[in-house]
Amino acid sequence: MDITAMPYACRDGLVVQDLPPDEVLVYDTARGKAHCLNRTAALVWRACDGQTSVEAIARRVKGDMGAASLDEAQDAVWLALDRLSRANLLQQPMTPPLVAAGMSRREFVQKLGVASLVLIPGVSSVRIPSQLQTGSPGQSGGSGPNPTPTSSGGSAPIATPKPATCIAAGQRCSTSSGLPCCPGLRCVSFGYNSVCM
Amino acid sequence: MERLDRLGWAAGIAFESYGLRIGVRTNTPDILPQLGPYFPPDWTPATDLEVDWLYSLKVGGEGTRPGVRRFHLAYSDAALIGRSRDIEPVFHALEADIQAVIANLARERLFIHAGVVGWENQAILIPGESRSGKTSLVEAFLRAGATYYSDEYAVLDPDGRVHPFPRALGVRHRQDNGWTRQPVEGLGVSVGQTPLPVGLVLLTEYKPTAHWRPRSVTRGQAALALFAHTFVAHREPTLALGILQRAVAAATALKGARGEADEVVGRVLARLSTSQAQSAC
Repeated sequence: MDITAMPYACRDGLVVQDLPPDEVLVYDTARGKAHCLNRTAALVWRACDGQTSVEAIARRVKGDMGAASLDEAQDAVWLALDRLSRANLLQQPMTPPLVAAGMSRREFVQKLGVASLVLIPGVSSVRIPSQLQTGSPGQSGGSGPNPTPTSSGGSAPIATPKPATCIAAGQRCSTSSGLPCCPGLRCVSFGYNSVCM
Repeated sequence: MERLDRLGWAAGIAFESYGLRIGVRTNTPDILPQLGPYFPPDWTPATDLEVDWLYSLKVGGEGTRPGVRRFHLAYSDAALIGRSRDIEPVFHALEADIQAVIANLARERLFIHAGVVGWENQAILIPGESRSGKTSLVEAFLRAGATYYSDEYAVLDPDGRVHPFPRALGVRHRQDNGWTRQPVEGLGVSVGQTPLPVGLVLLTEYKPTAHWRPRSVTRGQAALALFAHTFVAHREPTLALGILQRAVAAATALKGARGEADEVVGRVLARLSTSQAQSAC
């Protein structure tokens, strides 16, 4: 086993949310996939800083998770690295040496053993359906108005696009939006609608 | 949109819902009083007619030429969302689109595709796409005495509590397996009034031959499933995940295929009652 390998976790484009007591949710904004890491997987993923060897991570896992031996902890770390790789959460994919040598992943998990169930790293993944992502009900394809947050009691708005600095020509404006029309334009009302002109 | 603006609009109405101001304009003022039942449950009339989202409802009907009936048309912003010679399907298209706009753009609320009922001061969430069987489960819970919150949207506040969105309930016809929507007021069920903490997340799909043998899943997996059904997951992931973390903080979650809804509901409610009794000791 290459216990000197130093895995490096992806960080860019990920939204990370701790879920007490020991799970972590990770949303990959580029791939549109969300992952739930259990305690072991989260511990390993956080330790993947490109400067810590597999052996050092295994020692940490042994100490934190109570593995019976360093070998057992190393198996758990390799399994975690394998699962994190398959979830695209590592910069360089890492395959357990025994798997690379021909052992099936199922056999590798079995090798870890029932006694080490608590050590088995879990990475659950789901794809976030694209049909929920757009603010385009009615098949408007995002061509609709650019809703802007109103100043409603100072609470943080949710589910609104990040505000632009000004509203461009031809786009709708609102006196309550707080956003001005871009320089040289003014908000002109047309009945139920106002447009920056 | 400019071409649409040039059509003759005779009247309109604006209302507020979940922090959004929505307008509907029409060429036929008489139609406006009929629209109320298709607006969101919490709608209130707005006096300011500048709106965040605009609908246009062009009523067709008999044309000037004999034997010609014009389509009724509904537009969401500039997009055609409904076109029919009957007005009712156009109203339903309008209703569905308004709900989708609110789910995507609501302020200070997170919308999740999920059925919701209240039971002993806790919310039971059933995430799932349309036609995944949410409404059947919600109906079965209501028959068992649960409180109605929604058959389509779990509406979460920043603390992760679930607010009612008691839209008209889809009711299945036994005869032709079709659906109609019925206002909840006429169904004799209690409707939620106050926000509830999430007590249980049910991750299940209907399979005709399945029996309900669920397994417990972690809060993380429950949050993951809810996130997959969150409307603004792509656009506001940090906010959404933060709210979901708070929402599932004290929840349990069960996962498994299900058969008939009544079987699930009986066993789920028995399990909840048992766990509540144990926690009370």
